[in-house]
Amino acid sequence: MLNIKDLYASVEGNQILKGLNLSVKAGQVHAIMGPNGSGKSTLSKVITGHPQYVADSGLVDFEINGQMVNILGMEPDQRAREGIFLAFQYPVELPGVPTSEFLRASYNSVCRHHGLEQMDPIDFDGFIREKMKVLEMDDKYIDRAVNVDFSGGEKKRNEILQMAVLNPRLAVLDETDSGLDVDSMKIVAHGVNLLRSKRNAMIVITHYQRLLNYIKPDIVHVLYQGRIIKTGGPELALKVEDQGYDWLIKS
Amino acid sequence: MTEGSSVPQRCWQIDSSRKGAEIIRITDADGKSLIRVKPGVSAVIISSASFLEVILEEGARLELLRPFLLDQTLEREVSLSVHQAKDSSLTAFMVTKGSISFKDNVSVVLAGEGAEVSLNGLHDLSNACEAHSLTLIDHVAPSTKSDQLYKSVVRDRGHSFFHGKIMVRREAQLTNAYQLNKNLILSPEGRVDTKPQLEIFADDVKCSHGAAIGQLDDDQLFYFQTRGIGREEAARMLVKGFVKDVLLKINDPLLRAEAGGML
Ligand SMILES: Nc1ncnc2c1ncn2[C@@H]1O[C@H](COP(=O)(O)OP(=O)(O)OP(=O)(O)O)[C@@H](O)[C@H]1O
Ligand SMILES: [Mg+2]
Repeated sequence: MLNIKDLYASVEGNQILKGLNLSVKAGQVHAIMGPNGSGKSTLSKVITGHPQYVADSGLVDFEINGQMVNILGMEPDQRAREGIFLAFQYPVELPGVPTSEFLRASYNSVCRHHGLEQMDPIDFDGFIREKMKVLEMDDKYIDRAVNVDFSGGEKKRNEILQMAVLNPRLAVLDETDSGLDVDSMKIVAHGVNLLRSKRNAMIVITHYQRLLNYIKPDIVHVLYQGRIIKTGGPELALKVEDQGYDWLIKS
Repeated sequence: MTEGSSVPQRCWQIDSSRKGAEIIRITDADGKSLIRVKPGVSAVIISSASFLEVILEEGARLELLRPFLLDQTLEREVSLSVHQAKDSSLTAFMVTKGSISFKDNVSVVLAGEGAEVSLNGLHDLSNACEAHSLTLIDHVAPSTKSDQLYKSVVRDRGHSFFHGKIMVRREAQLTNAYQLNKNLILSPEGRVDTKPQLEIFADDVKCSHGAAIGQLDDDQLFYFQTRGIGREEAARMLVKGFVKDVLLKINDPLLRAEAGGML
């Protein structure tokens, strides 16, 4: 579904990703760990197409209509409509833009692209309330401006709500667990697990093995200085939790 | 107040409250208009009269919308001058959209103790439109209050000027005056000039002003895009969000709908 080959990418002229390879198949959950500044968020921005994060060389292929397509030239909104989603490490505030309107515009633009029926405000309201119930979010967020005056944890929940609305084929979750208390993390993980299926895949970026107890990964990678230096099963996350990264960096 | 004027003036004397159900409309054909709201009466008025004079008698309340769709070829000059007696209250909204340059001269005299004014502007400028908003609030009596919020969306080669003067006379103790001018520039050629001016002669007053000039934020646009929403629609939603707090200050639902519908 996703195939990244020998990817070099820069931000503001500094090369951050230096020959990264990653292959994700439908149905899989990949976890990416790695020290601060190793390039995890940069990878998520390159996959989703942030204009400041420039791919210098390499390929990012994504499966669209059964074919692998290099998505590097596509606008972020095109990629999103094809089923790529990013839950932001730092969700962005949109003053004056009501959450309900934002979510409906998002849902409808994806439906329009796929020739599916769009939802009117009343139907959408019912649809969204269902999703919010799963994430145990208060109804009041519907009318509030997107992420404005949300606590850190509420913002993270709102990211997963958006994921639930769009039901993406590939979701990149960038430190969705940071800022969540233990109970919130369980609720959010439950919401994420409901979205797991054979047809979609997830890349879960985290510093903590704890999240991976709830969202069980198939494959765990360690990213260091812009490339993946170790790949393993869930036990790799346990070892990192226990011993840090020194043993990997020195070897 | 109309003596010596060559332009015919229409006068509206409002002496019973109409509780919002009925809104008085004064069209531009009326050119020069005078509205007098009698003591204790509340009124809701939409006026596109070019030159509007308002007199609020004691305890009178007025919610006023001045909408101008600027799509004719001529430059326009419009004005509002207000005289407020004791405990009267005015909430006024000047809303424009279009590409024709205009100048709006507003002056408010808070002549009676406890008089309050909320003066608001929303301008959506396109092409080479120059918008001049000049406001003067004269706090003459004590315990008077003024609050101004002017917002402009500047497209193309639009140029927004805001010059807001607040005057607090020696007798006007316990004045409360607040002014804010915010601008969202959507094009590289858009320009904004903003200039507050405070002249304070009383010592026990609260006065503050602020101005902000911003552009659409890349990270906000990217956030929209990752949700499948294209940049144009995102910009529309952000602009709508930008003007929203001004629209929300309009109490009367019909008035609010009319103002919102213009933008
Ligand atoms: N917009 C930016 N402008 C300049 N430098 C940037 C920008 N974004 C990231 N960087 C730099 O790129 C490097 C990698 O950052 P990135 O955010 O990808 O790290 P990370 O692995 O996600 O770290 P963390 O675990 O702290 O979230 C860092 O040195 C960072 O300072
Ligand atoms: Mg990061």
